[in-house]
Amino acid sequence: MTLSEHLLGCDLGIDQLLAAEAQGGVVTAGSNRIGLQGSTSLALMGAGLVALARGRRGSSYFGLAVCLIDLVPLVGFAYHIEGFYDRSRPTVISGPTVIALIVLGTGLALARPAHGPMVVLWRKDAGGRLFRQWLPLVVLVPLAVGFLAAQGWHRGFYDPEFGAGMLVLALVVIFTGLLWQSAARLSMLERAERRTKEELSELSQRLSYHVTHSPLAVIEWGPEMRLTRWSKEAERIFGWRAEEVLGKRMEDFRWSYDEDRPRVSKVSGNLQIGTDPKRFSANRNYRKDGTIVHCEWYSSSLHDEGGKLRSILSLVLDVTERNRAEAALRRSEERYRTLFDTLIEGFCTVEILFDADGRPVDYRFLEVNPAFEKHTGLHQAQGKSMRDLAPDHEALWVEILGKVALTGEAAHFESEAKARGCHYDLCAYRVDGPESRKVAILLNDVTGRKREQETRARLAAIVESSEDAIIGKDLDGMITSWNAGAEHLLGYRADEVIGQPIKRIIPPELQAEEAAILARVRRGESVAHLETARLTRDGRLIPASMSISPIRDAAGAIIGVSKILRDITARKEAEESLRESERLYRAIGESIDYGIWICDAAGRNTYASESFLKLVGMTQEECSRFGWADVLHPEDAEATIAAWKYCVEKGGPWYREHRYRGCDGQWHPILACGVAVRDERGRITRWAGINLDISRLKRAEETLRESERQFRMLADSIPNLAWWADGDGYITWYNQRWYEYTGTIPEQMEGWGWQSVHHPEMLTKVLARWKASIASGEPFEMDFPLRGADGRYRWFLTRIIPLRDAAGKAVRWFGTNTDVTEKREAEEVLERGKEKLEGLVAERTAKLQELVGELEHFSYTITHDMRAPLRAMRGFAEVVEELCAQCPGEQQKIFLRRIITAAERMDLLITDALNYSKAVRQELPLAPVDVGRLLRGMLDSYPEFQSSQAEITVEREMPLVLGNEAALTQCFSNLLGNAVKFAQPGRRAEVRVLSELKDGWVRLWVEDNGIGISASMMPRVFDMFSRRQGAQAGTGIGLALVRKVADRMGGRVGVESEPGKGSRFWVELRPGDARRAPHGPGDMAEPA
Amino acid sequence: MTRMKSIVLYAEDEENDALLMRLAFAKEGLAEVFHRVSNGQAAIDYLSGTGAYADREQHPEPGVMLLDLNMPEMDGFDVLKWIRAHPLHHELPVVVFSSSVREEDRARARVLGANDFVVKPNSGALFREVARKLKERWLDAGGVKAGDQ
Repeated sequence: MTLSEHLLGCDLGIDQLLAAEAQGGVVTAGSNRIGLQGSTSLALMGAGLVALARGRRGSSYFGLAVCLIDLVPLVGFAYHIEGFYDRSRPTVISGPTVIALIVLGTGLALARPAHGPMVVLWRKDAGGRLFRQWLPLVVLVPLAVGFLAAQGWHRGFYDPEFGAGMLVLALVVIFTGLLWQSAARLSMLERAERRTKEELSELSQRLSYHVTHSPLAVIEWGPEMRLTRWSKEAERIFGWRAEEVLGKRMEDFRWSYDEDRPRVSKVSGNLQIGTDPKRFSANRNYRKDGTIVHCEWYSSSLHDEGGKLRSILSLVLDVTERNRAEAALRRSEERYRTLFDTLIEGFCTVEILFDADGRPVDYRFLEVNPAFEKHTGLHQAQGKSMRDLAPDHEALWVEILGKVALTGEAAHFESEAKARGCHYDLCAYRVDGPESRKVAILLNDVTGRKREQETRARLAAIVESSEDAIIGKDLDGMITSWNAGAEHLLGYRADEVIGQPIKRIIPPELQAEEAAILARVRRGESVAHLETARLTRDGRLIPASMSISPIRDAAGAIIGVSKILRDITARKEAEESLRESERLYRAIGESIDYGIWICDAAGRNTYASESFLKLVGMTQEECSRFGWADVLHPEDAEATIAAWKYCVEKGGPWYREHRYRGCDGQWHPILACGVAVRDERGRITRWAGINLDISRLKRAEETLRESERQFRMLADSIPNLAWWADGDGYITWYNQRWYEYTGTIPEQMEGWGWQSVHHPEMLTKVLARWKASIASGEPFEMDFPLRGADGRYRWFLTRIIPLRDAAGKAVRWFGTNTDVTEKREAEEVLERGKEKLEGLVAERTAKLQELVGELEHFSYTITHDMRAPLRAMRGFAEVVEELCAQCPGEQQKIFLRRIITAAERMDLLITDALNYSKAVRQELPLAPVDVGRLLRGMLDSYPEFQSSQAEITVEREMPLVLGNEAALTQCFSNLLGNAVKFAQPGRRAEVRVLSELKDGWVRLWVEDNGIGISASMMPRVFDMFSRRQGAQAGTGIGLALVRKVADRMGGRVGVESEPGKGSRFWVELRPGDARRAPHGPGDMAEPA
Repeated sequence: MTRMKSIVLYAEDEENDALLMRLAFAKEGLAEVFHRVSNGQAAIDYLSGTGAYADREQHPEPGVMLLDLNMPEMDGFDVLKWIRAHPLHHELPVVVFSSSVREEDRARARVLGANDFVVKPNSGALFREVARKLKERWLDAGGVKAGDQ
């Protein structure tokens, strides 16, 4: 009201209602006792109190406003600023009022510390702290500084400007400090905020990662029970993707399993209201595809302070498979139990007991089934050890079971429990891991089966070991069993034929037999020892003996056939061998002259070879009736028959010669030999022997006797002495001439008695030589003297030759002594003559050789020395001719020319003679010579053969010849020279050299067109000094030389000529190239 | 010792041959180069420069020797042997000049070191050819050539 009065500027006197001060009082200056400041403060206080009472937040502001308004007069009082407390005005506010109002305002401002602007004062954060720290400073320091400044100024310490400066400076310092701290705080706060944000972000990422990758599905609902989180695992478990379900409520899609829904709703409700903030539940859900998934839910809810739901987080585990496995396990357990109790086999689990060294020593039964007791006879075994139950129990079992427990490898074995006399089949395997040492055992009493097996095995062994093939087959002919004997006999292995038709081993032609056998077996019959044949694997047919019997089942019904095959090849072969043997000995018998014979023990003939029967023209029956005795030679018959009887009686060997009359009427000498054939006890069962034809032997003996007689006659009639000695040199026979010459008698001469007729000086030498011959077996030949009956010695050539046996050993010696006395004397004479003659010949030959040498030297020297004066004659004649060339007197010149010509001729003659003698004397070694090359060389180098003189052509291809190059040069130089020399007058010589192969010879032709050779000259043309008529008559030596050298080279020469037309000279030589020899003239053009 | 390469020394006992050869050299205008000795010993004396041949002005060193084989006392082979064994003359070219046509003489001369073997011709014209060839081959060319054997 007072305020409104101030505002309206009118005094209603309201404040004077209660207490009125007299006008002009000390305190009041106006009409109203309360000033503007006081009334405003009070009004604001009232409003603030109302607001405070109504719980409005604005109350603090009112309090603050009051404080601020009243702070002004307070400052005014302190600094004596009248404007601040309006002294001018009649109603001035008092100091205590101001302080009271400030206190009241402060109280109002702080009445609601959690609201309004004062909140900051109580905050625990940086702002709060800053505010609390600096508030007193900000308020008090300026006040204090201001007060001091004002005081200083008032007291005159300094002027007002200085006080204002001090104040400003203080304020600057304070506010700068304030600003600095605020800035530092802010920076710190900002850094802390940033770090916090980063940590928060990382935390959020980690969380998000874990949520995403959690093996548990993470599902979160918001306050409205709308899905806010749906992890990957949730997608996997339930099939919905996050974007399909986020924001949806549980009932918005078919998720909760119908049956479990009430329970789920209940749990959910509890979570929402927070009565059960942590909850585990197991329930089923639908997947998106409608299938059911079993889940375990671990949920928690979060509520705010107000208890309002903020979120529910569920972790979900898919336990479908586990549930399924558990269910299966339960079923398995149930089945196991059932099996355990109803199992026919005995079953037990045992714990193996080991000793200190880890060796199994016993086992204790943990669990046994009812059948176990039945099989083993062990009652209430559970909990007991085997040793307790059966002290002498087989250690093998403990050992095997111990191994199973240690290694975990299951064992299946059969063993005998001797105490019970039973066989058990055991199957043991470890249970519950390696440390458990528990083994489960399944056992069966197989005693009956075992015995049956043993029986079967024995039977099978018999079958298998049988050498006979034992084959089982069913009634359809299919093989059901096949023993080793069958494998061996027929070659098929059991696995190859079992299940195959038996027909495989039956040859095609015997297939019918099989059908018949099967038919018989079906009727219940057996077949024994049927001889038949079967085919082996390699296609051989083997003879077999077969026995067949039916196989019956337990009920006696025939279900198959047992067939026993025995290989009778050996027996068949033995039979055949016997027959063969018989044939063989008969054949041998036929190859013996008159075969073999067999007689029974009594000597009666039972067999005689055909050859004998044919010889004597008798049948076997006749022979067996002693017919053979009838055809014996009368001279032999009696003795032979008696001897045979004696032989049979004594059992001795039979060896006798006798003669039989053959069909041809001749007597045939036969040597019969035989021996007794005895049985094991030595009794004679037969006689067997052979008849040998000895007619040839007999004839040979006769021949020999005749030969001997003739030899002796011959030996006695020859002039030589002759004798026979044994192999060791012992002389057994001398011919008559020996005795006649030596005048001795056989008794003196026998053996080595001959020495007495030898010359004593020669005897040692003869004996040595003769003994050496005997030792070596070499023939003996020697001249030595023998003393005649007249006491004179004559020389004999003695030859002794050995007669050797098949081994080459000298078995006899035949010696002859031929009288050579006259011959020796003649030879001596001859020898003496010969020696004389040889000496004479040698002497004369030497003389002759000397003479020849002298002659040769003489002729050479003559010719050589003759040439010197000749050369002088000619040389000087030429000199004179030259000197007189310009002189008159033609006659002289002609005579000079004649001298020169004569000298030239003389020189030519000498040269040719020299050449000829050289050709005769000198060695001409032969080698292949290329005639073509030789001739061309000559044509090039000999001036007389130049083309100006004559036209000489040589065939292009000339063969090689076997000759001597120098000799051939001489030869051709003469032939070509002649051809040129004997040209037709006024006509140029045309000469051709050709070659021709003829009968292994090379014929070289030199043809010219010269004057030719007259018929009378032809035979002598190659003779020495035979000359042709012509302008250029030669020496008569050239062609002789040609013939001589051709001859020396093993060749020939010849000529064909026609006077006036020309001559064709030829030289034949052996080809130089051996390969050309057999070729004909056609090869002429070939290169040489 | 001075060796007049232009001199031919002819060892020959046969006066006719010697005269013919002298005429032949004269005809060829080579009279100056021709020197003759009448036997083997004389040839050795000439070469040694002893006795009658001591004066080298008159009997100068020959450039080639023409040697007859068949000479009295000391034949051509002996002379050839002496020359080839002599320390100063062993390189003197020697042409054997003989009427012998025996291959054994030719072979022996070759073995003993003759540089050539020329058969005595039977015509004066051919003597001139011998003289000419001797000069051309042995004197003009100035010595032994490869393949002279």
